[in-house]
Amino acid sequence: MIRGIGALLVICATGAMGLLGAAGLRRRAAAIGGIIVSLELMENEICSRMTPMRDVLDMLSRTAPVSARGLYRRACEGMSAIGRCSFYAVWRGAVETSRELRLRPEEAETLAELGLCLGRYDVKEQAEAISRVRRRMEVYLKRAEEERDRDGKLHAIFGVVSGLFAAIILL
Amino acid sequence: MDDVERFNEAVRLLPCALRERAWALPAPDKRCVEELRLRAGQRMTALMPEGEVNLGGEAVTARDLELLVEIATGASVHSAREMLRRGFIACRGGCRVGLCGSAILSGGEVTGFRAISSASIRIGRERQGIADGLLPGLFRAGAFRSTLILSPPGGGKTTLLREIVRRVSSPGPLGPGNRVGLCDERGEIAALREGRPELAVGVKTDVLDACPKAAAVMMLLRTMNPQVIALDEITAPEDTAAIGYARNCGVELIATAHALDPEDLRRRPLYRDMLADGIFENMVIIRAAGGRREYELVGGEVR
Repeated sequence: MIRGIGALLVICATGAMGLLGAAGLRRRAAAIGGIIVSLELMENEICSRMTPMRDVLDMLSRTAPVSARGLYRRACEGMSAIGRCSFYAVWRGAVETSRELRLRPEEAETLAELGLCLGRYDVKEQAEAISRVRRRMEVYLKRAEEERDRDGKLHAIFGVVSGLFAAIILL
Repeated sequence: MDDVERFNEAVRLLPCALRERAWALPAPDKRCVEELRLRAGQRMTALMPEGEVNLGGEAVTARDLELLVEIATGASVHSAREMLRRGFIACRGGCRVGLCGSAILSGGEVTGFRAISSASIRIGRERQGIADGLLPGLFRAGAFRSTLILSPPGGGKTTLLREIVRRVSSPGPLGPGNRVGLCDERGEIAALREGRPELAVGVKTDVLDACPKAAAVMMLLRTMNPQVIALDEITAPEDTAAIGYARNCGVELIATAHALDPEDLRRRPLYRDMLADGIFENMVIIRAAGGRREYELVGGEVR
């Protein structure tokens, strides 16, 4: 009886790990998608309404897709540090601490480099920079969706199967 | 907001590395600092009534000046581009950051600055009471008469203009107060913030800011039915044309111009016609004397 319960627990644990891995892939794709949508909102605010950066960040921290709100909240909070450091440092800091986005180093770097243009140049240059980052994020999104579709089920099945094997060996 | 708070507001525009030197000034000096001046490669100075005082410390770097612009614009150059095009950024509390450097030209017009070489943070000051001795002379038969304020740059024209506007638009011994339309192109006379002036400009004053003066005069005439229109620094033919139009509509004016005295003003073609038309009945000449300012009123129709 105890062995049976133990085997079930092992299967559940490895299965949960597999499901968590699959959920992580789904969240990563959703976060990148959220960033793309929010960058479009950002571009509209800056280019059409000339909204100051603090207001843009504040608005996005409330209205961007949920997966991307943390990034904008951190950047908005960091605005009070301008004077001690540049906006670029604030933005980069926000990107680097937004671990919930699950961005890979290359993706995080692309997003962080946007801070070199944001609020620093005229609308045309900022619009070009935002569009460029959005296009690259769309490439990353496609890759993340492929990984989600390809590896998501694999993670779940591998988790359950490895649990089964472990249980058989232990029994 | 008192003078020390206004000074502190200006210091908050500085990069952190430079703030300590400014905070270290004694309170009486903080009250009379007119500008903080930053030049790349030189130490920061404070402009006091007696002249520029070196604040010591490290020399200002190009990076400091970039950070100053970032703070002043709230890291939003796109929001401040119209002001940057004209070489300044209006900030909280009536402070104004003036910039110098390598201008960026597009289509023959300045669109901003690439390498900023120096900056001046001008601190907006309220000096309530400075016009007390002048005011009775600015009225005839109980009505305010058009007045032109003259001084060289940095002479205190804007401060005196603000105080005259405040007194002319407020009920008091000289009358019930006039409806004053205030053209505040650079946002340093009233310092509007969320629709409310941060500097006292009187209870019957309607402020139109961030709008070129000539256009603002016409808008105020059409929309606000002013008895008096106030504007700072007549510098262009469009300004004098708008002033002439307003005067012909029966509106009195309060304006300022860069000049030492009426003779100096008459030598300039821009002002000659305006003076010949007798638009201003009063002139106030500001003179600096021993760290203080003296006001001389030249009455009668000025030609």
